Amino acid sequence: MSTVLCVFYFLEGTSCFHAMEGETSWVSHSFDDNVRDMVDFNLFLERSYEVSTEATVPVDLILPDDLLERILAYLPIASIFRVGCVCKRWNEVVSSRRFLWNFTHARVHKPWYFMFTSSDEPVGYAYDPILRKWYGFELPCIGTSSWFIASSCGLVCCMDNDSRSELYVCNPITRNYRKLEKPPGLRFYDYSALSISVNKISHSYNVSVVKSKQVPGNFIQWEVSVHIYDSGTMMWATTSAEILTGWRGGEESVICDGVLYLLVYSTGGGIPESRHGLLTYSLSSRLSHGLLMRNLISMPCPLTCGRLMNLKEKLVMVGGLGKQDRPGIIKGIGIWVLSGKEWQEISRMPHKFFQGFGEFDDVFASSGTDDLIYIQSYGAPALLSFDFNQKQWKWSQKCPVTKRFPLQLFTGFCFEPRLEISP
Amino acid sequence: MASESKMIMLRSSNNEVFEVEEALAFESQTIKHMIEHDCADTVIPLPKVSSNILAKVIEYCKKHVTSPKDDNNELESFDAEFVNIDKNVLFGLMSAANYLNIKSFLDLTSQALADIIEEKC
Repeated sequence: MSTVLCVFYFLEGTSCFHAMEGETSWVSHSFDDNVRDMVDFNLFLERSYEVSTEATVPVDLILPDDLLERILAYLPIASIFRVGCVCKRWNEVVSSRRFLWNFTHARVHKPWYFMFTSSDEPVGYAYDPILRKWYGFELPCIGTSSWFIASSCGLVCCMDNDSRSELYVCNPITRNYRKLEKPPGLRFYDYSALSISVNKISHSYNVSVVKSKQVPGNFIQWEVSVHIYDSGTMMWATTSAEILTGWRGGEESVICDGVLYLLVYSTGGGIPESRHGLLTYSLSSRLSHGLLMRNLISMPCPLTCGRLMNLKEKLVMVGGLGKQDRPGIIKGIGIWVLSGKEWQEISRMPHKFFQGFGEFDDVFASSGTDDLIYIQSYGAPALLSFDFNQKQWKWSQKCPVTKRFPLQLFTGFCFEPRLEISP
Repeated sequence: MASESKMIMLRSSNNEVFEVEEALAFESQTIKHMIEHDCADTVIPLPKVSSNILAKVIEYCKKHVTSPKDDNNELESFDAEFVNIDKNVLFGLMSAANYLNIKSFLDLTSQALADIIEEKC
């Protein structure tokens, strides 16, 4: 019976979306009237019609698979799971390779932004910039908002911030995931930078973990090691370990076009203004001298906070611009792209948007991929986006969450919603 | 030379004949192909499309061919109203749009059907 089939398929492919009061509801947790309607609708689609004086359809109209497929391809990504639960035929249509391929290639996808609404649980809202809608969302694998998170091409990589030994790669939409063995190297260290890079064609990926540890008793020397995971061999390799003098690694890194970029911070004692720098490390050449300090790229101007991201294999940085006389406050935010060894300024956040955030600490959340950059202040759930192509700044639709207590922090990350990729 | 546009005859599944301007008929890639490759005679048979559906398809094409190119708002509201119809008819239109290979019409009707499905979900 199709009813039984529907429930079965629903349980099999449990969706990450849940119904929130007052918002777009997702998959209901019980087989209710809506789904029953859909079963009728499907039978309706398959029924043949008879010509009568009233009827306006040809005699033998039975909706063939290719037309059904075409219609379902117009649904927003968020609905695909639900329609896949209607019946076996529909499930087969939306799971077929051809459908997934067409779905991915025939339409415009823009990266979504996930915002945590709790610091203890991996729940929050995911924003779709095309439909301008926020969906109640629960993340797989991730424990809390303090975890390290990186994403590339529909896959999200995450690592816990306690033991730093739990590492997963998942697709947040389909909830498929793989647990990776913990990275080699130091067990206790100070800073960790996580990145992932997915090959769009083969779907294989590399995960990088850069560990930074202060050399005991020495304020200006730091041990920095690079560990790379290859999904093909399913193995880690420690490709570089060296001592940096005057600089340390932090938590900001990204892999772009086969190069690992690490944001580094000066440790020259006594200087109040902490300088940022950029180290590059080619994953393919794996030079034995590792990070090559002499390739240090300096920042275009003093920054309070830098966020690195991969926009179509270009390295883009969003940076906070400090006020000379007032530490801890930023006067603006800029966007740069790395061209060779030089930074090219792309845009500055216009004043009216800057003001719209209200409070803006010198440190903020920002991530981006493909053509879109998201910027969020830790102090409020407001979300701003910058379209790299159109060079346009735009507020997102207001997020349906309010600040519950003065010190509540909001953070998030962006990812591409894709159905066809699995870790 | 008189700039009279050539007229094309289309015959529906129930043998009703519709006379339309070539420019309009060419909105359908299927018809255009048949004419350009001399596959059809004086009348083009469309055995998969009933006259009721064909009449509506012609109405859509006429509006889109004759409307000034920059009047997007008007076309948008025309399109929205056009698909605000009975599901049966919408199916017929989508099926015809697929068979006749009229891309904009196919996109419009497919999206309308997807919207109905989404609403029901």
